[in-house]
Amino acid sequence: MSLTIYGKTLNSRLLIGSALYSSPQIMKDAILASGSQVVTLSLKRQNPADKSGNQIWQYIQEIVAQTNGHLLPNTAGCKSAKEAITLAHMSREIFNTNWIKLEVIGDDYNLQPDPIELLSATEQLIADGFNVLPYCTDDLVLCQRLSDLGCEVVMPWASPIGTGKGLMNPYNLETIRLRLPNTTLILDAGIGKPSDACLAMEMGYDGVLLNSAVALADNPVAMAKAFALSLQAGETAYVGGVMAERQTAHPSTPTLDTPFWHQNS
Amino acid sequence: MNIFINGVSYSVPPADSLNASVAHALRLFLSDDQQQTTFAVALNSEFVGRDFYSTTPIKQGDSIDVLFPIQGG
Repeated sequence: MSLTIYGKTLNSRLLIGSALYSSPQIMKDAILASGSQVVTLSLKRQNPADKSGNQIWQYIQEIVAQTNGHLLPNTAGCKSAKEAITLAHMSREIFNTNWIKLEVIGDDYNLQPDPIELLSATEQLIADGFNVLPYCTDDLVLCQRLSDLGCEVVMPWASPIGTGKGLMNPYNLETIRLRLPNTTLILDAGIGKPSDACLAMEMGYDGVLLNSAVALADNPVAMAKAFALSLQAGETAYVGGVMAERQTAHPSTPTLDTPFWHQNS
Repeated sequence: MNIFINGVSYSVPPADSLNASVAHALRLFLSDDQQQTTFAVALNSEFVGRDFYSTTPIKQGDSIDVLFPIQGG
């Protein structure tokens, strides 16, 4: 089923990063295999004589053209609202999109977002006409504040970027889903396995953004396909309605008219 | 006049120093061909749109960032 983000309808609920692949061709093959129509990318200083960055950019443009997709520039590496705001404006000029994956990092050890700077940057960028997709922790009140500021999409982490630890705090993530039923929730960062993505979708999340889990797989193309399937499975399960968990066993085979071995007890 | 572009010191020729702009600085850093590629500019951490390169003055000690698309997560 489709997902609509800031007015754009997508055929896939998977958003995927373009970093860490062993080659640009493998990146392209994996992203195409994933079925994703949203590709994240970034801006950095670079020696203008170095052709590799330009090559990556060419590949990403080809992917977007082939998938009728969308670019999602990020503000990776920014540690203050001011830095992130400047980088967002630079990205908008280059990539011709109001979408920005807003990252403001507060701690170098676990790359945890800084909630104070994130809110400040979000407020300014929305005022500047951006469609903000904030990367944040799994804090309910922070997610509420981001939504209140006007973010149609909020992206709490599963666990720290690149760890592959999966959903560290399922309770927090479920609570965010329950409390923000009208906000598009994308689980971002820390996904390791397709089953992690499936679990998020079973909770009712609207999508998953990941990078390392595919790029660092032994076979990124195969893993991209696996993630695509896992999201479909999780979404279908959510629609199907997962049964309520029970504390005690209940026989699934009818007990009425149980045959001979209980008749004398 | 010395300025910094992507953290490296560059000397703006005296003839250009009087009315030096971001456009002058970019000519120090990028060849004509490279100026046709995809990049964006910040001056002292403030975004400068491409339409304003020629009209945005620079001064001694200014820091310019010239950023290019790269892969990202």
